[in-house]
Amino acid sequence: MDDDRPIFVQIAELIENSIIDGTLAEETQVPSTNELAAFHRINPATAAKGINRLVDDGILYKRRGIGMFVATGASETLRERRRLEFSDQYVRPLIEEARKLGIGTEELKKLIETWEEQR
Amino acid sequence: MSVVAAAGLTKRFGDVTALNDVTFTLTENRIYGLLGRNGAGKTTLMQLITGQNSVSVGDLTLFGERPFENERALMRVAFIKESQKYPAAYQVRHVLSLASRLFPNWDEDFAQSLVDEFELPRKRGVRKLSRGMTSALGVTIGLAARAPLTFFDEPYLGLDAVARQLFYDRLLADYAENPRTVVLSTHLIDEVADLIEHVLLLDHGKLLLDAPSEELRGQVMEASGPAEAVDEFATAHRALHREQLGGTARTTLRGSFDNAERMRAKKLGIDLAPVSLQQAVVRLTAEGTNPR
Amino acid sequence: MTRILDVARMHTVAWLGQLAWPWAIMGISLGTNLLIFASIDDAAPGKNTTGGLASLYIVCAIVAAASITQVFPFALGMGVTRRTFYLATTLVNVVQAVAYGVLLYLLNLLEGGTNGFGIQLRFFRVPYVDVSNGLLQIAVYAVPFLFLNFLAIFVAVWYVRFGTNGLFATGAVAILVSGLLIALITWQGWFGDIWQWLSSQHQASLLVGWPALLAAAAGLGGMAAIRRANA
Repeated sequence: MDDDRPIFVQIAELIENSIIDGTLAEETQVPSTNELAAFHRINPATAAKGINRLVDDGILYKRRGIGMFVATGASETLRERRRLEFSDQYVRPLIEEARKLGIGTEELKKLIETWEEQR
Repeated sequence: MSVVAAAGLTKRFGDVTALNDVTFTLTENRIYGLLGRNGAGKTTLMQLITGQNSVSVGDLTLFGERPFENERALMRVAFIKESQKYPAAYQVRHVLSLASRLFPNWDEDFAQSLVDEFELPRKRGVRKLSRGMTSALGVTIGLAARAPLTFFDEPYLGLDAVARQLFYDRLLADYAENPRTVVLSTHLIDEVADLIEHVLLLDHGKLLLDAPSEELRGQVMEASGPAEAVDEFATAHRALHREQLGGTARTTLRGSFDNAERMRAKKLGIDLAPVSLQQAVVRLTAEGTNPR
Repeated sequence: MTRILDVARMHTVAWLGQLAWPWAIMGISLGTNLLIFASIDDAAPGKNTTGGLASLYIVCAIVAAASITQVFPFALGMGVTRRTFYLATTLVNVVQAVAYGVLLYLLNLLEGGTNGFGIQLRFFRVPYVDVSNGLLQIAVYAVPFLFLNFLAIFVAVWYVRFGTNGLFATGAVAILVSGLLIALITWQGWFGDIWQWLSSQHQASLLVGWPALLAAAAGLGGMAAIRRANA
C-alpha cells in the first residue's frame, strides 16, 4: 500500500473494484480480515476498518459465523456512486490541466474523439 | 483494562535523565511502533515496563500492577532484545526448552515450525550462532511465547530481507489468529509502517508523539512549489523542515489538511503530498532536536 | 514452586557444560594422583595424602559464580524475578551440596574398603575431616560446598551489581580490614586465645556448625545484594 490515502480506504476501494469488474459476484463471500491483512501485509485492524466501511455503505453484509458477503445490488450501487464522483475526480482535473496548457474546450473534445477512434 | 499505563514516568541514571515525564497507555490487542533515535530512551522504557530496572519518579503499571519484581505480571510479558545474553553452555534446544516452560501460552508446534523456517541448528551453541541466527532465535521465542504483551527491540539485526519478511508475515498471521499487544521498536520504519497501528515517538527521553499511525499519515505533508506561495501556505501549519532550490521551495508541514486546505494549496499552485511514516518521524525528531 | 523448579532448570538444562566440569576436573586430579603414587614404590605410610579433592570445591565455586554472571542476565530477560531466580539458585546449590556429600561419602567408603585404591592413597579420606559417623561425614563434605558456593555467588552478584570497579574496591576494603584485624590480633597477642577457642569446639560444630552459619550469612548477603541488581 503506497497510495497517499489512508490504507483502510484503499482496502475498501480494492474490494469495490473487484465487485464492479465482477471478480467478486453478488452473494459471494469476500476474503476475511485476516486474509486481507496477510495478503496486503497490513494490520488486521486496518483491514477490518476497510471492510466495516463497506458494511456501513450496505455493499457487504455479515452472515453470522460464516463471514462477509457481497450484497445484492452492490455492483449497481457502486457504479452509480462512481458515476457521480467521475466528474469531480476525472473531468475537473482534465479541464484544469487543459486550461493551464491553453487547450480550449473544442480542442479537448476533438482529442477525446481522436482517442476513441484510435482504440 | 490497559496493558501498560505510565504517568509522569522518569528514569535517571546518575546525572543522565533517560526518560523525562512520560505519560501514555498501551491498550489490549494492538501493534505499537516505539520509534526514536538511538539514545532516545526506547530501551530504558522497555526495561522499566519489563521490570529489568526500577522507576525513579512517576507511576507505572503493567496489567494493573507495579512490574518490578512482580512475577504474576512479568509472566505475561516477553521482551525480545537484540542485546539478550545467553549462558555459554546453552544450545539452541536448551533455550527453547526453557522458554517453553517459562511462558504460560507457549506453542511448541509453532516454535518448532519457526525453527525449521529460520533454519536454526538445534544443537549449536547459542554463542556460536551468527548475528542473524541469534536474532532468529529471539524472534522464534517472541512469537511462540504468545505473551499478552510482547516487545521486539530491534529484533532483526543480521537478518536478511527474506528472513525479516518471514518475521513480519508470521507475526501478522499469528497476531490475527491470537491477538495480543505487540510493541515493535525499530529503525526500519518503512518495513513495518503498515503493521503498526499506533506510534509512540520518543526523543531525548520525552514522548514527542502518541498517535494512531493512520492519523499521522494525514497530519504530516510535504508542500512544494513557488517559494512565496509555499511560505504563504505554510503560515497555517507548523513547518518541520524547509528546503529551497532557486525559486522552488519544499517544506514539511504538520497540521490538519482538510478539503478546504487542499483546495487552498491547489489555488496557490502548490503540490501537496503525504510523506512516509519514516519521513514523518525523521522530520518530527529533527524538529525536536533543533527547536526553532 | 513450579516456577522456581522451571527456573532451577536454567542451571541444569545444559548439565554437561554446567555441572559436569567439577567432576571431570576432580576425576583428572584423582587419576593423576593414582599414577603418581602408584609409581612411587616406597612411599612412607601416611605420606600418600593429597589435597586433590580441593579441585572439586574450587571448580564448583567457579561454576556457581558463572551461573550468576551468565544465567542471571538470561533469566531477567525471560521475565524471571530476581527473587525467584535467587531461590531457584539456592535450591540448586543445596540439592547439589547434599548430592555431592553423599557421593563423596560413598567414594570415601570405596577408598577405605580398597585400601586406598590398593596404594594407600588418601584422596577422599582427608586427614582431620575424616570422621567416623556417616551422617556427619556427609555433612562435613556438603557444608563447605555450600559456604564456598554462596561466597562465590555473593561475589558474582556484587560484580553484576557494581561492576569490575565495585568488585575491586570492595575487595581492597576487605583486604584492608582483615589486614588491620590481623595486626590488631597480633598486637594484642590474641592468637593463643583464638586457637584455644577453636580446639575447644566440638568436632561437629567446628566442621559443620560454624561453616553452615557462614554459608547462611553469604547466602543471605547474596539475596540482599541481588534485589537491586540489573543485568
